[in-house]
Amino acid sequence: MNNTVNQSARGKAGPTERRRQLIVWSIMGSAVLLGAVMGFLGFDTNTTVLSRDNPISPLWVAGLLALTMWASVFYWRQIDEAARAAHEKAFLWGGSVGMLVALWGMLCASTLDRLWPLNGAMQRWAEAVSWEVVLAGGVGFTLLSILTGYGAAWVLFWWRAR
Amino acid sequence: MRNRLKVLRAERAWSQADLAERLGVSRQTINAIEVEKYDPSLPLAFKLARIFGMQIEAMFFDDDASHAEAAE
Repeated sequence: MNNTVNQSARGKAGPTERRRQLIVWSIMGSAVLLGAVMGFLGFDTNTTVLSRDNPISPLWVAGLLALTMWASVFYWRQIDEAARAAHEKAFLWGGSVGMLVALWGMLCASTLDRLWPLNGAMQRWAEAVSWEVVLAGGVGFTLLSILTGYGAAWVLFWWRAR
Repeated sequence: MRNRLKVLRAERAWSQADLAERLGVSRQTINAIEVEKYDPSLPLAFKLARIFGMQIEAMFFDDDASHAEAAE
């Protein structure tokens, strides 16, 4: 029962705790930055360590995911119950709405492409680039929609509770 | 769910940060409870009741219950 009230959220964190928090935030920030840089470079040149031509790519990705998962669990244990509720609501409402927007966008791209304002632009773009780029574009659009919805819902939770 | 947390805290001249430290939560959580935008978990509600030396029902009450009824 008492575990629900997070001990580490009490008062000020000690030097060791602060150092661990710094490490975790560094890992999470680095993972996002690395993913963005690798994704962008791979998207353009396909020459990075995460490219599909590199046989150890799955190991890199698995390691990065494991590290990020550990950092996420550590972060989850640090925050208190209202902060967790904010994330849960953001995941449920923001993430779900974001997914619906992504679904709507993909339906538009695939079925309403001939109508204004797309006027066949999506189809022309898809024909001009490789299938990997189309796939990456779809995944990127979906992720962006979900993250935008999540972020908006999270901000709304704390804005209402200010 | 409505609550008397702000009044009770003011009676003891505690800041939100003071209460947050006693409870082991963030100041933002105390504020969210006070403005009634977040309902605390049962463990946290019990802890609040212990800190203020009251029954939970005297601190928290649903929208239909009057303040007077809850205080009785």
